[in-house]
Amino acid sequence: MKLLKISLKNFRQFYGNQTIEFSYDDKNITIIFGENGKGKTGIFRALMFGLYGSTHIQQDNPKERIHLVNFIALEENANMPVEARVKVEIEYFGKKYELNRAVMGLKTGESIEERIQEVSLNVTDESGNYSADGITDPAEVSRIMNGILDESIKDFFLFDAEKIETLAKSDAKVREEVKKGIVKLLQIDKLENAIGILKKLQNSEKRRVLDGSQSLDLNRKQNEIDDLKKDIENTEEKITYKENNKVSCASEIEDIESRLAENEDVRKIQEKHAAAVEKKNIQIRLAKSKKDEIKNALSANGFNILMKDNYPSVKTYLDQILVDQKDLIPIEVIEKSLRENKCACCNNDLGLHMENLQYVEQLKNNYKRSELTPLISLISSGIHDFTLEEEEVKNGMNQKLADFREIKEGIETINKQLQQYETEIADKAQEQENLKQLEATLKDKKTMLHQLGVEIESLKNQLSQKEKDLLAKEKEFSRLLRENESLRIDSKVLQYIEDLKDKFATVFNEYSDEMRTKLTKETTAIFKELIDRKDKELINRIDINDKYEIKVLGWDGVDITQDISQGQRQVVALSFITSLAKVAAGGSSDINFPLFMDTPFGRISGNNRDHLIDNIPGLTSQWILLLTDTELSKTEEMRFKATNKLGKWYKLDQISNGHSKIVPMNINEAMATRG
Amino acid sequence: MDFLMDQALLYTSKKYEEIYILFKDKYEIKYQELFLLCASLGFKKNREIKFSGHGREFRTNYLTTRQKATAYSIILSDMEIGKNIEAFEDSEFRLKARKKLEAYAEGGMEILVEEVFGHRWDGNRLDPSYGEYEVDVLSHIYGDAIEVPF
Repeated sequence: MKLLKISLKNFRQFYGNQTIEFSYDDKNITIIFGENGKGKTGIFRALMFGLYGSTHIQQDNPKERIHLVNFIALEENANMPVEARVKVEIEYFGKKYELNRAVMGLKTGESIEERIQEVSLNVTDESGNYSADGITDPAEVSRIMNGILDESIKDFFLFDAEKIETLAKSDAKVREEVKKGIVKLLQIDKLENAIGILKKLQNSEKRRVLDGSQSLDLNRKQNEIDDLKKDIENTEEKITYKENNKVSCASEIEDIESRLAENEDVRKIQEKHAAAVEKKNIQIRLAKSKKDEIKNALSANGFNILMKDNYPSVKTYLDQILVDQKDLIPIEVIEKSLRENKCACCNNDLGLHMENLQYVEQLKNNYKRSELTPLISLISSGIHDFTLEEEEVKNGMNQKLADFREIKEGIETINKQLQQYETEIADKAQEQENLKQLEATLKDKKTMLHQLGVEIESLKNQLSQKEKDLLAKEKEFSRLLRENESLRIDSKVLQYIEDLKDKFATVFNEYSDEMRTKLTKETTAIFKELIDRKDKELINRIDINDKYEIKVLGWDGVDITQDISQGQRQVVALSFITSLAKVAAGGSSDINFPLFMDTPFGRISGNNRDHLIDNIPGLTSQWILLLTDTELSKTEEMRFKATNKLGKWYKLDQISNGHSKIVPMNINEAMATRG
Repeated sequence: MDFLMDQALLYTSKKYEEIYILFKDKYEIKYQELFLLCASLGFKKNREIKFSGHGREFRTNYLTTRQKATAYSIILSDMEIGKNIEAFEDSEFRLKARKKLEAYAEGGMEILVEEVFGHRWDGNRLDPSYGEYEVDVLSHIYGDAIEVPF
């Protein structure tokens, strides 16, 4: 899908008729530059309205009214209807689609009434035949548009900064978003609905059975289950709430630190602090790998170390058994002799010499002991092997424990150093009146961050315990139901519903697992291209796990999602969105959907921005950016120009309040207003 | 004769079930590994505790050859049923031997709880926020091993 052009008439702050032509093919970057308040989001709204008729975008409160008709036009035509119009032109598989939507506004006194008007869609086919009679049935238009880019996943391609913020967090909302993306891409939403329906059916059937049953036990158990479920929900909510707090607390800390860094002295200490943190992280990883060694030593030889003093006596006992066995003649020889009634060694006729026959029979009876031989050698050789390596094993254990203690002491020393730097920063800040308050807040926030971490951890532990309890109670419930003679049929019906639900869930999980694997691979690959080189090695993989959480795994496989910076988090979110788009585009190497981003660079650091600018044009067929002045400094401008992909360049000028003008610029002109 | 090769079950108590689960989930220490460690410790310190009510379980054939050698050593060294390898073919003895191992494992775990886990054990489970149990256990048994017995 290609976005060709958008034309606005009296839409939001775009007074009169205005147009943006989007760039594509070789020159696939379009930039619309505007300082805050000049109408960037108005362009985004126009696109959403034009394509899907949406009057609200994700960042809006759905209950609040959003005015679409230009205020100046309304003012000029008081008590007269004013039409606002958006026309979007797109190309998809050789056909051109022209979508026209209008909204009528009327201002009387202070009140403004708005009414959405008809929609029309005209299609020009591959040979250039224009359908003069547009399609005006809203349902048909919506069907066609959803076939091109499904409305429910449009947010992954056409998005605002809010979206990146959302995805960059790690809470239930993100899980929902990620799951939605996967479900929509796979088109298994119907399956998901079916599972939902069966769940409801299961609950209502259960209720019906319980209402009709006299069993106190069953009712009591179900009440316990309901209470526990509520409890689990509450705990989950608490976790989400605290996780949100943690994310905003961390970002406030980042903000305060960067404000403190404006002071030269503070910045110098901060740099030392950052280097120490880096050192500490390395030590923490070393400690982890040492712990793995310790664990391996414990599993492999812990029992041997404990039993070593008993091994000699076991060995002596077993050796004695072997000596007592005296099984010098193999059983085959004895059996052959008895079978043929003739000694297999000396050819003595056992039929004639009864005393010899009795002796051979006795040998056979005693032989059973030698069945012990393989077992004795198993035990003996186990003991023997350990005796050989005992010293080495002990030294190894000692060394590992000592190494671990040393690493921990090292971490302690770094912690002290970090505390020292923090005190120094605090002292410096105290010297300056304007920094005093900041420093005090920083301290509070850090304590709060730590506290939140502890609380979340403890809540998560509680949650997993409660989930286990729930499972046990549900099992118990099923057992009670089965055992209740009068509910035998009901129990079977419930079981049938549950089996069916489980089967659907299995199919659902199989499909979505496959998609998760694909997305994990793509997101990681794209992330590696987008992230700053210095961070590339630190992060090993972006994992979309079975709970649909986006997890960042460090070079050693440790989950570091909570430890990465807000900026890195945004690159993760961008990588995920881009990979979804890529997977949605099917097998083709680049994304055939435009990526339309409103203010995407907010928190992303300079180096990471450069990487995004260099790489995204290669990943997507069309990249349209709404950028504010702080996102597009001279450095970024140079970078964009250097890609040689910049095709169109617009500036938003504010003529007056409620009147913004879209000004096409020459791409060679300088645009950035900040250094 | 090598009766641990059979697929008989060995059980841990319900009481310490959560510890077995935690060690498996957090440190990837399998049930049989922790079981044998505890059985060795229980035997060494002569603490055997019979229990009823099952927690985790595993089959004896999950034990490796080296682990089996140690399990048999415990059985052969036991004051009550030891030094009687001929009895290994008797199914009643086998059952008794398995119960012995279970009782020692239970005793060993009790020692770990008392001497290693301490206040981190709340009577039901270990404090999951602490992350160095494996270091503490190795430290304990190593320290014990190098002590010169008088």
